[in-house]
Amino acid sequence: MKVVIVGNGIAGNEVASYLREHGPQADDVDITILSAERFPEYDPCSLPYFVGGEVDRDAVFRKDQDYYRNSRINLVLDNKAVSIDPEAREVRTEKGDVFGYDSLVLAHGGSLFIPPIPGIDLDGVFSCKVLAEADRLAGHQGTRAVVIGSGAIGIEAAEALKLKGYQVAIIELLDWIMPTLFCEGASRFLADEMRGYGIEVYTSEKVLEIQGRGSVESVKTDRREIPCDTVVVATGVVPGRPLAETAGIACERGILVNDRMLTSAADIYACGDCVQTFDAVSGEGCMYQLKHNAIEQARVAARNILGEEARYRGAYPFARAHYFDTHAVTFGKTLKGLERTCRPDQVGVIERDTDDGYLRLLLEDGKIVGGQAIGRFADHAGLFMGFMWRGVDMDDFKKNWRKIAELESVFPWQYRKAGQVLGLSALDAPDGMEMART
Amino acid sequence: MHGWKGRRLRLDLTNRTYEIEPLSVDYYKKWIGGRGFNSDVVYHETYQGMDPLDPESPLCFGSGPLAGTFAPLSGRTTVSCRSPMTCSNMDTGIHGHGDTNMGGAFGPFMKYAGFDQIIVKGKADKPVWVFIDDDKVSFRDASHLWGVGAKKATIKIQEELGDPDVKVSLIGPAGENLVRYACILNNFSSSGGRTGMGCVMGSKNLKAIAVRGTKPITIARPDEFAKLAWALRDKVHNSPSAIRRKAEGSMDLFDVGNAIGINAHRNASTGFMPGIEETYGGLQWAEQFLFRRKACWSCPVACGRYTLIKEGKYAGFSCGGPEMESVCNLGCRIDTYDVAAVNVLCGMVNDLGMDSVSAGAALSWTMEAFEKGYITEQDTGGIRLEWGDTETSMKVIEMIARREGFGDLLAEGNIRVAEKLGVGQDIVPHCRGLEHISVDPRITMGFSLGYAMSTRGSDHLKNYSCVEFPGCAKSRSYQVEEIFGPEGAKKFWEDFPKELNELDTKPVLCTWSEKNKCVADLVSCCCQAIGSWGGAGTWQEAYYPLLAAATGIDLTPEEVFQSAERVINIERAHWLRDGSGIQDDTHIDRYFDEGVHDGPFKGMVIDREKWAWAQQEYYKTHGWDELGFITEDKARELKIEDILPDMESGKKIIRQWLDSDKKAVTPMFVPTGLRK
Amino acid sequence: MTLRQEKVIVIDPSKCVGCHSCEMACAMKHFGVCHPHYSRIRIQEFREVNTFVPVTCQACEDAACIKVCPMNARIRLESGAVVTDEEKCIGCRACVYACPFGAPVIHPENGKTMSCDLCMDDELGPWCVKACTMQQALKFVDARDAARAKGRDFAAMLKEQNEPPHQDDADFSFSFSVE
Ligand SMILES: Cc1cc2nc3c(=O)[nH]c(=O)nc-3n(C[C@H](O)[C@H](O)[C@H](O)COP(=O)(O)OP(=O)(O)OC[C@H]3O[C@@H](n4cnc5c(N)ncnc54)[C@H](O)[C@@H]3O)c2cc1C
Ligand code: SF4
Ligand code: SF4
Ligand code: SF4
Repeated sequence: MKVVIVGNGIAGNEVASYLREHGPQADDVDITILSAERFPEYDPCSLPYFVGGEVDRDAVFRKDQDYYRNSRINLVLDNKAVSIDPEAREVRTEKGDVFGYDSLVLAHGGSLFIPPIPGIDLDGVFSCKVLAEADRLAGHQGTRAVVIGSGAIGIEAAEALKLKGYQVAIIELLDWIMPTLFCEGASRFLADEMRGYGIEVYTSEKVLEIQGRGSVESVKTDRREIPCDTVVVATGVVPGRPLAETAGIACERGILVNDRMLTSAADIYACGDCVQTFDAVSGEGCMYQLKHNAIEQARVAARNILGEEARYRGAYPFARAHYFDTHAVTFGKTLKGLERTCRPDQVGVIERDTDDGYLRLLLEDGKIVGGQAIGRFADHAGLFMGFMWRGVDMDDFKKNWRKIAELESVFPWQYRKAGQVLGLSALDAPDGMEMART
Repeated sequence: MHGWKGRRLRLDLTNRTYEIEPLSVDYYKKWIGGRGFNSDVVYHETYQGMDPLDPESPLCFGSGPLAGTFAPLSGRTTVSCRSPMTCSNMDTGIHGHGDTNMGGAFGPFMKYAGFDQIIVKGKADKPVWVFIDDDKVSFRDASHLWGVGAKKATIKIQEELGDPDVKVSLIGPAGENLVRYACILNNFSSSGGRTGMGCVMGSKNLKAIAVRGTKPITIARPDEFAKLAWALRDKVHNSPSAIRRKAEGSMDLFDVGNAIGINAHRNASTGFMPGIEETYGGLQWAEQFLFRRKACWSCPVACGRYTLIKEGKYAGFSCGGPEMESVCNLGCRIDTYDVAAVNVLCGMVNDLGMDSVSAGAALSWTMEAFEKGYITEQDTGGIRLEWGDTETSMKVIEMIARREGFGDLLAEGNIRVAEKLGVGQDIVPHCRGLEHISVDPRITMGFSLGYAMSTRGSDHLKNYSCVEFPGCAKSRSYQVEEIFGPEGAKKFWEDFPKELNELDTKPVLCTWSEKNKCVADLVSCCCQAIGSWGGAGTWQEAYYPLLAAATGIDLTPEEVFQSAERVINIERAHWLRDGSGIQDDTHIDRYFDEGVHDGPFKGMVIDREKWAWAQQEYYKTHGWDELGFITEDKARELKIEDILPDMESGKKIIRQWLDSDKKAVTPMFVPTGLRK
Repeated sequence: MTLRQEKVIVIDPSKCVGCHSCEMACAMKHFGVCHPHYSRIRIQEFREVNTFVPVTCQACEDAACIKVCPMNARIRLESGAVVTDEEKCIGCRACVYACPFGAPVIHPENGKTMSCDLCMDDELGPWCVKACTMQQALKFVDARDAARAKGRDFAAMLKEQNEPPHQDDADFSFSFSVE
């Protein structure tokens, strides 16, 4: 069996190593990975921390060359796939090589969205999506940086540059930072924290132009002009569709796949940042470009290639926001996302705001569909994700969280813990144990 | 500093201020740990004749070098102050040293917060609770906690702080209402019951102390310490008595006690209760009520119980405990077989914040007083307590805690009740105003002498060693030689079968185990582990090596033993300063005159002559004089010379009383020749 | 999916008495000091109903913490244990949030995370398990037997609680698994 994988990223490598570890014993799975880059597998998530100097460059790599050799994976570096011929079962690369396959896996992720801003190609404008770019940024000597875009990557890049001693400003077009990850309240809190660490944060501001002669001198927005010598563009990732489109594979926002990670073309699978799948809880179509989803999708693809009937359970949004001493986490939907799909009377919010933390849970018809937590509450976010998976009815929960299901067995301690975290009083609900009379 | 934290915390409730006081290595060497620091402070910061409820009287929480460490059995805390409950038999207004040792986890957390001791002084103008968050101390309003039982109040505090791991020591309504035998509880239901520490806490308007501690305890020689701790843990894991304790709790002693008839049945007038096979006892209790066990901090045994009544009238009632003494004193002492009701009584008494021994004694005294016709409904405001009446008992318990009606009087402790009513003094089984626990002092002479000599009033935890029991002596024969020396051991084995009822060896035994147990209290370890169930061996085997490895200080076992002696002496000096010596080191006449009613030792009494001999022998083993006072030589040897002037003035009080014809509050045996 | 051969620590909260001996043992073993924050196993207290839940890394077959770690700092050791590589960890706590048990805890000295390493190859075995000899709330058993051990009922319960309803895979990895 010949398997060709396009993309030497998280998803591609997961497919390859899964096939090698779990596939038939003999060498009858012939694995080829086509890579547009020059490196063995590295983790994009760790790039900002390499840039910021928190870890060595070595730490970003997930694999080394030996791994591919020892695992008998044919890694083709620096040779981008450019077209697919599904009839002939062939992939063609930019260098003109042709690879035939029995199964093809599209795992080429997405590419940086480059906003049409004048001056975007000036010297001193960087991104942080791929290692080559990160290398350039890490080697750059600047003092003042502007980060365009405040998604998770923008925030991480800002922290990295701050750590390197830059003066840093973040500019966000929408009304609050990390707009797809956090609701307004949490986001404002996180922005204040950022400012507390000395990072300037500007929201509802549009970048009009990057100015400079030859290299960057300032960034001009609709409100101000910020002198700087460094710009980092972090305005999102667009899924890589063009390659799939050469084969006539159905795409919407991303490459469409079914729950076996199969595209509309026979024996062509896709996984990772380039695909559009469905949400694990709601079943709605979605594109959460996150590492754990890439890994899980890759495993489903691999298992199906091996002939198993594995089905994907859906993707889920889960992200942490961490910079300096601030710790926050978000999962599921935000209020904005929820309002797009629900009637107002279906939406509920549970909120806790204390000295040492903040918690917000979003409910749809009384069930958790998303949440955000900062500080002490963040450590318990997993409990509420569990509730989301199980579809726990929160009204029911409030009534019964203390009940000891069966005295002899272990009661669902997560309920009690969640009650503690939500600040419910153990004195208000029955637990099957009467207290002493006082 | 290793093992210890090097500091103590002083709280001033009057001014709502606090002070962190560093302590020197010399101080630690002198007093070693919790009970030691406490007894030192309680002696030196009070004075002769001081009212125990005087705001300036210090209330101390102390823990030792092993508290909060990996050393097993190390979760204990000592609470001490001048006791409002205990008193001299000359005059109930004469008070002395009081302390209590509680399990749970308060001491370890005090240390995690960085303090070996907390001293509370002053009086808040309104009810407060104190939150100690490492070095930050805040005084908070407790009006919403006032009148609330221990469990609910603990939950409220934890919820207010949003932290279920905060450890709370607090009083129940009984403490607030100054019931003289109010207790202090921590970790929901681990109580320090005896001698009325809760009353003092209440008098300061202090509902609770909550601690959060985030600092680790460092160990001088970690590898060695870990090895030793494992060795001791292994010993405990494999000890049959520990395994039994685990299964039955401290109630594993119930059947044995009943079989020999020492279980304080019917106001401690007799000790045998027929037909308990189905009701009382560790296994029976576990079968009927045990929900899940609980343990003190770092204890592998978990003798603690948590009970839930599954069916019947009290179905759904749950509480921490009960342990042996609560069950004996709220069960067989009031002569009931309704064990579910006893369980409820124990839970109530605990949650209301009272000593279960003294509370049970208050009930049983009233019952016997009714039976004997000493009192009638007129004295009690219409309440009648008959033997075994658990329903009324529950009512009365609440009345005591709230100081309502007759409960207000019972809240004073039996000796004062009898004194005020002018009747029933002969049926108050006590030493220094503190009622006996559930062992009959006419049968087991070790207990008997121990009760009388204990430095906090009638008590076995200060000095009791089990080797007088034949079974115990055999399984711990190695201890016999250590205690008595080769000669003494030979004699011990000669008299062996009768040992239990004889006083001959008891002065030596009592003195030895006094120090043995004191070391356990000093290092904050369980004294039961080297005492009643004894699976850990003696303190030299069990605790000394751990103490040395944890702290890294160069103290020999002899020096540690001497520190224990110093602590015992300073506690004794506290009593002597107020004039309480030989005339209080004794028992009520009843135990000399009225034989045991039932059981294998029917008819047994304490022999007056032998008692007088034993008293003097005991003093000699301590190097005290014939009135039981600490001699100058002893004081110098122990480097507590500063007590000597107090000894002189104390002696004056006792002489005055002996030379007068003032009657003792309760009729007690005082050796002939002492009084004119 | 095949089960690993290694031994795992299984938990039976119904036997836990809240003594915290395991925490003390762990802190002693790894740091030579005593404090629960220095321990990798943690007891969740519900003392008002006298119930205690030991929480420690279950070394999941398909570990959520590994998948979400941006630094690939959550690694599986030869023994099967899943631990944090302190060289790589940046203390972002994604692993804490994603773990169904919240098992990784914050290293008290460097703010990174840490979790049970099964005491590597200490001849005493995992110290927490040994500390629980009398209560048997913690047991160190063969991963295969673990499926039958009572403790795994607990794990199975958690699995069911933490995974989306439409996943009906029967193996006992109870994290956010796809398979
Ligand atoms: C800075 C940064 C931080 C991030 N932080 C997090 C985080 O904290 N948590 C999280 O869950 N996710 C994070 N992500 C997202 C996460 O990295 C992606 O979801 C994940 O890498 C997707 O894996 P993938 O295999 O689909 O794509 P990638 O890992 O991007 O791999 C795609 C690979 O395909 C190659 N390729 C592209 N086109 C072709 C072609 N035509 N032919 C051959 N090769 C091609 C690319 O060069 C690349 O190597 C972050 C991403 C970035 C950039
Ligand atoms: S040692 Fe065992 S019983 Fe004690 S707290 Fe740990 S798990 Fe629970
Ligand atoms: S998900 Fe949690 S329990 Fe599982 S391996 Fe990771 S840390 Fe351990
Ligand atoms: S805290 Fe460390 S180990 Fe955990 S996810 Fe973050 S980087 Fe990985």
